[in-house]
Formats: sequence, C-alpha cells, structure tokens
Amino acid sequence: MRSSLTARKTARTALLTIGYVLMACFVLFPIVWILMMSFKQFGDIIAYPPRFLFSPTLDNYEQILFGSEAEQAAGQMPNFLGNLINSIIISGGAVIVSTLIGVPAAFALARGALLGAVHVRFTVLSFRFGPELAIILPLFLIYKQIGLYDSYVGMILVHQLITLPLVILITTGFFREVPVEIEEAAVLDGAGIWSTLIRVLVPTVMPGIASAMIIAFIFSWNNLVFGLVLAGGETRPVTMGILQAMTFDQIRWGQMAAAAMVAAVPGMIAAVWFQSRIIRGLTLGAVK
Amino acid sequence: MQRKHSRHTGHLARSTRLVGFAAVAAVGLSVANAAYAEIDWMQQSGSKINLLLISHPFVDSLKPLLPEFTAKTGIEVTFEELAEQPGFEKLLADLSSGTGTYDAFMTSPLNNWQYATAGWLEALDGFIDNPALTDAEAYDIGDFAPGILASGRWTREPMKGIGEGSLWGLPINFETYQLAYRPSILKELGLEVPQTYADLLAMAPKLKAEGPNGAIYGIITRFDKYWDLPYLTFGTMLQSYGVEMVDEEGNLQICSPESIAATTDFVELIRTASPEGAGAFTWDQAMQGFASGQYIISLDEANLFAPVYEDPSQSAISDDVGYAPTPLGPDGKRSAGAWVWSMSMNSASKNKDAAWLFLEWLTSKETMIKTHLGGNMNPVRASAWANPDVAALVESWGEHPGQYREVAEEMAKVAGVNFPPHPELTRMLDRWAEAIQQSYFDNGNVEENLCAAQADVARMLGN
Amino acid sequence: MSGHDVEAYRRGWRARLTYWGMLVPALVILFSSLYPFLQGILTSLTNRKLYLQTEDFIGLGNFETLIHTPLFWTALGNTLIYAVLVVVIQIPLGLGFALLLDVPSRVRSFFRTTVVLPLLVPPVVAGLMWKTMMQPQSGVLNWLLQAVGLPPFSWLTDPSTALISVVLIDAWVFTPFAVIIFMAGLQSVPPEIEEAGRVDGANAWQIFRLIRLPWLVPYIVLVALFRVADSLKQLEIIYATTRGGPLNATRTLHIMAYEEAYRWSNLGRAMAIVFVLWLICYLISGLLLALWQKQEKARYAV
Repeated sequence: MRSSLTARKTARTALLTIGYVLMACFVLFPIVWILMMSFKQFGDIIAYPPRFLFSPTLDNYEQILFGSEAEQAAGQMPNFLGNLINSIIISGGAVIVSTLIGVPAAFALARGALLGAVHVRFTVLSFRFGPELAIILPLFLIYKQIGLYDSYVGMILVHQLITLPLVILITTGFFREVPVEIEEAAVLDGAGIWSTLIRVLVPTVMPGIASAMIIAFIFSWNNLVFGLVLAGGETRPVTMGILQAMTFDQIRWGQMAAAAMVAAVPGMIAAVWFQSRIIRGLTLGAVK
Repeated sequence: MQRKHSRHTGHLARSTRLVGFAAVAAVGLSVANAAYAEIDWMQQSGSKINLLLISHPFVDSLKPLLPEFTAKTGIEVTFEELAEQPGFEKLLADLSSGTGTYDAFMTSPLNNWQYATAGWLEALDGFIDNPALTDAEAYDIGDFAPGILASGRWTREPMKGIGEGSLWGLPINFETYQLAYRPSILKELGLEVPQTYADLLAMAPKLKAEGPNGAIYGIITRFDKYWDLPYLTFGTMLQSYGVEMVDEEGNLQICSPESIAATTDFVELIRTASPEGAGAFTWDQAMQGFASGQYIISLDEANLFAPVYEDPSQSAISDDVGYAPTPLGPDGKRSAGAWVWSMSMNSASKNKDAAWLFLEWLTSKETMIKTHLGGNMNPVRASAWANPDVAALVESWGEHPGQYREVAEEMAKVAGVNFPPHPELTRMLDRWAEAIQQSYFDNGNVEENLCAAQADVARMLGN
Repeated sequence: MSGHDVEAYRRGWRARLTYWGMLVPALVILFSSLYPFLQGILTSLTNRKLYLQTEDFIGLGNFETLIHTPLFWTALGNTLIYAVLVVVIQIPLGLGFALLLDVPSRVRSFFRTTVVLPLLVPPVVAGLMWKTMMQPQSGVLNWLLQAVGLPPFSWLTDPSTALISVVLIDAWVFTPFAVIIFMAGLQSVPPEIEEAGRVDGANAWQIFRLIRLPWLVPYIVLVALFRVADSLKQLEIIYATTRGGPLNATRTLHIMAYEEAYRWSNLGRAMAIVFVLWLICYLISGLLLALWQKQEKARYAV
C-alpha cells in the first residue's frame, strides 16, 4: 500500500516534469532563441550547426536604435526609433481615448439596467469578428479624401476598433464585481450618477481599468494591418518597422531579432509585472 | 485576341537592349551645348523634399552623401527606407492617394508602366531641357548607357512604345545575371564551369560535397512565386532558350515548345541539385545561402550580390568564389534579363524643381561615382566605368583579377528588358511564375500549367 | 426615502438618459465603422482599380469572376482548414497546459507568468521569429530534429507542409489564450462536486472526464468562438512568413484580398473577396455565439 502510493507519487512527479519540460520548450524556446540571436554577430547567426555559445554583442541593438554610421553621418533618425515613437503615440493615444469613452460606457452597461444592454454588448463584441480589411480598405479611400491618411488622428481613430471594445468589455466585467451597496451609499449621500462613477467606482475598480488599459495598449501595439494600409512614413508603427529590417543586401537577422525583442517589450513587461491582473482582465474580457 | 496587338507591336519598340557599357564608353555622344552656363544650385534653398527608398546597397551608399547635397543646394532631404515588398505596396498606396508625400522615389521601368499609366509620374524631359535647372554640359545625358536610359521612356500605350515618348525615370544602377561558383569545390569534383544548360544538366547529379558545416548542395537560385522569376533570373534562362513573352507577331510564348523545354530543364536542375525547400527561396535566401558556403553554384542570380560574396564580414566564401556568364541555350544563344533601379518624380509633388535638382545631383557623374565606391552596383554611366577607383574596386572580385568585370561586361551585351510594357505586366508575370512553381511541385505537367497560365494572361490582356 | 432614491438613481428616466449618454459616444465611434463597410460593399460592385481614375458599376461581376477562379476556391478551402486546425490543436493543447497549471507545484507560478508571454508578442514578430527557426537548411528546428535522429522537415517551404507550419506558429501565439480561459474555468469548478467525486472513489481521469470536462464545455465553446473568428481572418502571421506561398498553400481569403488590392491594385475584386470572408466570419461566429449563449443559459438555469 505504502509503496504503491510512493510509486504513484513518483509517476505523478515524472508526469508533471515531462509536462513542464514540454511546455517550457514550446513556450519559451523561441523567445530565448531569438533573444540569443539578437546578441549575435552575423557570422554566429548564419553558422550551422547553430551556435549556442558565442561572444555577445550589442551591435544589433545599437544599429536599430541609433542607426548605422551612415545614418548617423546623415543626421537621419533611424527608422526604427521613429517607428517606436509612432507606436507609443498611436497606441497610447488610442488607449486614452478609449478609456475616457469606454469606462462610462462600461459603467452604463454594467449598472444601467438598460433595455437591450445585452445586445449592445454583443454588438461591441461582434466588432472583433469581422475581417479588418472589410473596414480599412474602404477607409483607406475615405482617409485619402479627408486627409486623415498617414495622420496620428486617423490612426488613433481606427485603433478604437481594437482598444474600445477591449476597454468596454473588460471594465464591464470589473464593474459587475463591485457590490451594489458601495454605490448605494454614495447615492444616499446625494451623489449623481457621474459623480458616483468618478468618485466611488473608478477608484474602486482602478486596478481593473489599469489592466484593461494595458491589455488594450498591447493589442493595439501588436497590430500590423492598420499600419500596413493606413500609415505612411509619418505614422508607421513598430510592427511595420520590423518587416523593414529584412532588407536587400542581407536578411539582417540580428537586427530583426533585436527589433523583435524591443517590439515585444511592452507585452513582456506586462506579462511579468502585471501577470495576474492581465490574466484576469483577459478572462473577464472574454468570459463575463 | 493577341493577334490584334501584333499589328501595332514592332519588336524594337517593344523591348530594349541595354547595350554593353564597354560599347557605351565608345559612343559617349554628348548633347551638351556649350552655351549653357552653370545653374544656380541654391535657387530652391529652404525647401524640403521627401524620398521613398527601397532597401538596397544603393541606399546605404547614398545616405552619407545627403549632407553634401543639402550644403550645395540648401534643400533639406528626408527619406523613408522600406524593404522591397512592403515598399512597393506602400508606394502604390501613397501614389494613389495623390498626397504627394514622396517627391521622388526608387522604382523601375516595370513598375513605372503602371504608375505612368495612372498619371502619377512627372515626365522628366522638361527639367532636362530647362537651362535654368539643368547644366546640360556637366550633366551629359549622353554618358548614360543608351539602352538603360531608353528603358525609362515609354509612350504610355500598352504593349508598345518602350524607348519612345517621355522619360519617366533616371537609372541609378542596373543588375543582370551570372553564374557564381566555388572554384575549389568544382576542382575537387573534377568539374568545369558549365558552358551550356546541357552541360549543367549533365553535371547536376554530381554537384554535391561535404563541407565543414555539413552537406554542400549543388545549385541555388531564387524560386518564389513572383514576377522576378520569369522576368529576371529564370527569365535569363528562358530567353537563352529563345523564349520571349510575346513574339514578333504578337503571340504569347508562355507555353511555346521552347518555354516548355526551358521550364522542364529548370525544374529538373532544381530537383536534382537543390535541397528541399528550394521551391520557396527568395532572392535573399539565394544570396545568403551562397554566401554562407552551402552551395556550389549560384545559377543566374543577380550579379550585384558579388559585393556581398566578396565581403568577409558577410560571407564565408570571400576567398573562394568565381563568376561566369550564364550558360548558353540549346541553339548557342545567350540572353539575359535586366533590372534597372531608377528614380522617378511624383506628379503630385509640391516641390518639383527641388526634387529635380536632387535627381540631377544624384545622377550626375560625380555623385554616381561616389555611390559606386560606396557599394552601388552596377554603374549606368560610361564615365563611372571609366573611373579608375571604380575599376580598382571591382578588379579584385572573382577567381582571378578582373573576372567579375569581364563577366559583367559580357552579360551586359545581351541583357535587356524583353517584355511588352503594360500596366498590369507584374500580375501576368506573377501568374506565369505560379505555373513554373506548379510544375516544380508536381501539380500537373509542365505544358498544362504553362498553357493554363498563357490562357489567363491572354484574358488579362483582353481586358 | 432612501430606497426610493436608489431606485430613481437606477431606473428613473433621468438616470436612463444619463446612462445612454454615457454609452452613446462609444456606440457612435464603433458604428461609424459601418460607413466604410457599406462603402466597401459598393466598391465590391465596381471594377475600381487603384491606378485608374475611372470606375464602372459592374453589379455582381466581381463575384462571378471569383466563382470561376480556381484560386478563390483554394483560398476558401485554406481559410476553413486553417480555422479547423487551429481549433483542433489549440483546444486540447490549451486544456493540457491548463490542467498542468492547475496542479499545485513549486514552479507553477513561474509558468503561469510565462505562459502568457507569446500572446503578448506581436503576431508579425512571432511569424518572423519562427520563420528564422524554420529555415530548412540553416534553421535551428531542423538541427534539433536531426540531433534527436529525426529527418529534417520542409516547414514553410513546401506546399504540403506550409499550412500546418503556419498553424503551428498560430498555436504558439494563441494557445495561451485558451490556457488562461481554461484556467479560469477550472478554478470555477465547485470544489464540493470534485470532493464528492473523490469520496465516491473516482480516479483522476474519471474526475476529469465526468466532472471537470462537462463543466468546461461553455469555456471550450468560448475559446472556439474567439479562435475560429480570429483564425478565419488571420493575416499577420501569414504575411510575415509565406504571404500565401509556396504555390498557394497558405493563401487564405484575407491574404488573397490584400494582394489583390495592394499588389495588383484591383480594389473592386479585393472588396468582393473581403465581403465573402466577412459573410463567412459572421455566419460561423454567429453560430458559435448562439451555442455559447445556450450553454450559459443552461448553466445559470440549473
């Protein structure tokens, strides 16, 4: 009896270990490999068999962030750094707009007991389900006409299609979790709906709003299609900048890897620092 | 349907040969008029122009020169650099938006046939002829290889009129195709550099070796599904087999017996001597693969990869590479595709005079030589080839001194744009490339595939 | 008085007005995207090309052309196969990972953090990363395969393996989504039911099979809903890796539409393709949404 228990325990541990090893290989190996690649010199990258040990260099990062010597000589800001700034402006702007508009909307959906609120929720959700090109190909023609093509305003507006539904859905979930009593106390003190929202509820669900903002920021940051169609040189985002790293005289794998790492930074930071909150936010956005 | 075009389609007007630069140097006729004085380069001082550049060694060679231009003219230059595919997509989007974001941009005759049709390009003749803007004597337009310059002219009539009409772009470099090989390995295998495609087919099964990093394969060349396959690299083989997309009577030749033979041989070459995955190689993989030492022969690839092969920091074979002209076809014919990078001006530009001054400066003798020394290959001006520094640069390339230059000169004699101008030619060539790929991947037989493509292309022409 | 106030706060017409006022800006922004959508439908009825100034109304001409284009059917097939493969791979894999992370262990919290990482990496970046690793001759994956004695794989470079390779990249990016939803689902299983099962002598497999799995069904439908909807319109991973090739093995409707517009400047036909895709997305996700609602209702009715 005892030995069979031990055997079962060993088997269990073995199974768990195998599971974790598989998971680590699948999830982590690509990231680790590309991270290594970003510190390799060209010769180490094209070496076959692949090199796991090499003398690391920061050249790739220096090149993409500060430009080649030629670019520095020309006084030209490296494209990639400009792309990074564009992405920060576009995704940051889009999230701020979505938060200002989306939080009250989420509150109304969670608490308003509005007729048809369920339909509104599904409508909001359904904006995720169509192919982006259905909207942005014609939008390209419209933007050209009204001068929003390749503008920050145009990009921030179109990114609402990503950020606004996320903010609304996730914060609705968080609002629902707040006990109604908290609001009622405020109402009894004579507060109106807006002031209840701003003074009482927003502070209460601040962590939830923050995680909605982070998630919305990441998904907006990660988007390629909008930039591909609607951004020109002035507003080109970082995801486009990476495609650019693959250039004529060589696939600059090292620079591409470095750019990939830089572009993935917001997501990685969020994953590590706000892990539980992000997971809850993503879950609420989908489930509730 | 195609017959209808034939009556209007003169062979000479349809295609253009680039004419070897060796010959060009001798021609060198100058339209210079000594009466023209030097122009005022500062006339547009204070204006700004924006460029779209497609990533290329040319761009790297241009960047350090831009401050010189600004110092000379007071014109501020900004630019964007994009990889080829996203670059052309973005250019299409931007030109069609009519916003004039890019005052000038990198392009090529093939692309210009669509842009010119749309009215997005500014004809350059007016600027060249304007003595206030162009110092004709110093600019010396006769110094350009005539065939290369002529490839930028077109009357905007589909299927004809290339080399005539307005000038839509100025050439900045051109590439044609060649063999590159590993002398040490061929020697070890007891093989000679192939003179004909038949030679190459015969030796293909023997082309394998073991290297320090594992297997070394026989042949590498790009083989993706896009127009550069029938237009440039495999196009060189096709043309050596006597295939042109449209013959002198105006008939499509995509599924002619010669085309079927060339395609069959090409597919066999790749199947025999290339590794798995060769059916999806892009130009960058073709270049990088050869530079990494994993292949014995680079078949009909761009000759301007040579600077990469020769650079020890980018290449594992810099001391073991040779160049040879492309093999001869069954009838002893050699012909080759050509790619001419050009600069064109946006008709929606708001700074046309400033943009012109930039183009004039960029394509001037002095600036062109500086870009060549910075890695921009191959020169399009006779004066650049005659320049001792440029000559010294390429002299060391190859198995023996001067080899690269000899091969490049040989190929330039036969290189040309042997395709009818049409705004949707890229789409037709994409369809052709698809048929070649189908044949490689065993999707129907060669003849069926090519004839289906020809039928589709005929339909596109009918539109 | 107080009860009445709260009631007025919640249900009075003024309150309602305020609530709608809060909602309207968001709805305006979202619904304004209907305008370009409708414009797009109009464009799909023309022969609009980017490089020509003129356009003619050609009715359903573009759709007719599509029906007679073999490539359209190939792309439609690829689109559907892609979505099916995504679901078939990601749901079991996500479930496996979620079950693993549900077992208390020392490394669990580390893996709970890292498992979300791929989801937060831009898909286009993931595509490029994997493309590097999947190079047939120089890539690390084939080296690893050979190191353990397996033959090399052609990955993205052969029509017979390209689609599954792209789906694998998709699995790397999006399986974490399934994992976190399933983790939430597992946490919501009422402990007393599981306890009761254990008391009755059920083993781990039976507990999973008879208690946890049925409980997770709505979560599975939910994951299927999101993953199917997203994979029907997947563009970025394919754009970064194969752009539809080799041959047309990974050409989905979305990629086909993109190239039709920006490679071949045929905007009218591109919109026709997009519209067909939109219809498919709408029908399939509508179906799954209805299924999910049914599940939810059934659960809360119990």
